[in-house]
Amino acid sequence: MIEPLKIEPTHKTPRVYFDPSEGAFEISGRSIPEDSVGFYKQILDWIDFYGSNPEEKTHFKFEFEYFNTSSSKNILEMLKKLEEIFHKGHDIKITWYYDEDDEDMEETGTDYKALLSVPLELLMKLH
Amino acid sequence: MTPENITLPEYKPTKALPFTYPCYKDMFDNKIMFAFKGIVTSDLVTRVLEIMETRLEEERGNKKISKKVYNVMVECLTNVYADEAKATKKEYDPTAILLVRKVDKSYHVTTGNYISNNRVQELKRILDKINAMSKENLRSYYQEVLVKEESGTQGLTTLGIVDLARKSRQNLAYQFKYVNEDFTFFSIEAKISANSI
Repeated sequence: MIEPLKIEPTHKTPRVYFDPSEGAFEISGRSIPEDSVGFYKQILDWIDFYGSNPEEKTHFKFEFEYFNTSSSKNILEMLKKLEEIFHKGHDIKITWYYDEDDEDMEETGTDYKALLSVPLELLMKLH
Repeated sequence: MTPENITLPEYKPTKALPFTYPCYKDMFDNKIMFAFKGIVTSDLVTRVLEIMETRLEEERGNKKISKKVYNVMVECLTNVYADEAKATKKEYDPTAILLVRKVDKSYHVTTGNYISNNRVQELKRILDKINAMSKENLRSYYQEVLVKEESGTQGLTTLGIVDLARKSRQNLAYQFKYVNEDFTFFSIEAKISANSI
């Protein structure tokens, strides 16, 4: 069994909580790291490894407060890796949460959905 | 003593602190609600965002606009700090300016920083191209650049500019002020208005 990946949030980086034994795959909060490639590498490597032997069902939850465009490219990389796992025949579902007041986050989710062929659901969070 | 009895001295700039009042008045006249000049580090970005979050909450305005102002500031600030990190020349001044103005019910977020002269033409080309695009064209261009632009590209990237234009939903104002044979001071402003969202 793959080790979980858990990263505590900071003012600049999101909380990461990937624990297959709990069925939890969540990334949430802010993402404006100085070195976005460095920060996301560990996440992308983990997903690669997880994809070699995934659980029967995987539900990834993206719940960002805000992120910059440098992070947006890394987030696309994450989603592409999940898409690869999906195309290998595994059951992958993604939920993209956005605040009801945040039309930019909704728009970004819509863009990702348009660029990918993995099931991606947009879900509005009400106050 | 009644207020009528008070005689105020006429304002005259003196050798001591000649800049304070003109600076204040200039900020007042230009409706500046927040200003910063200095080196924009990533720690500073998070602090500025905290201050602005409080300021916007105090205004009790439209939450969608507040969120948008916040999102635009995130992008503006990280563009400037990433750009500043590129500076290698000794004579380069890495300080930048950030201004948030509130004009009527619109917010204007402006940054200014030094860039190498050799970037001016390309930036101008991108800005003019983006400003001429419709909302739908911007969307497809954003998706195209998101896929094409390499991860780890720092500084004021094409993706960053397209992102600003999309969030603002209005043309981006910009200015290039030639400084010397190496550098130009580049200002860019994104407006957020209630009637454009």
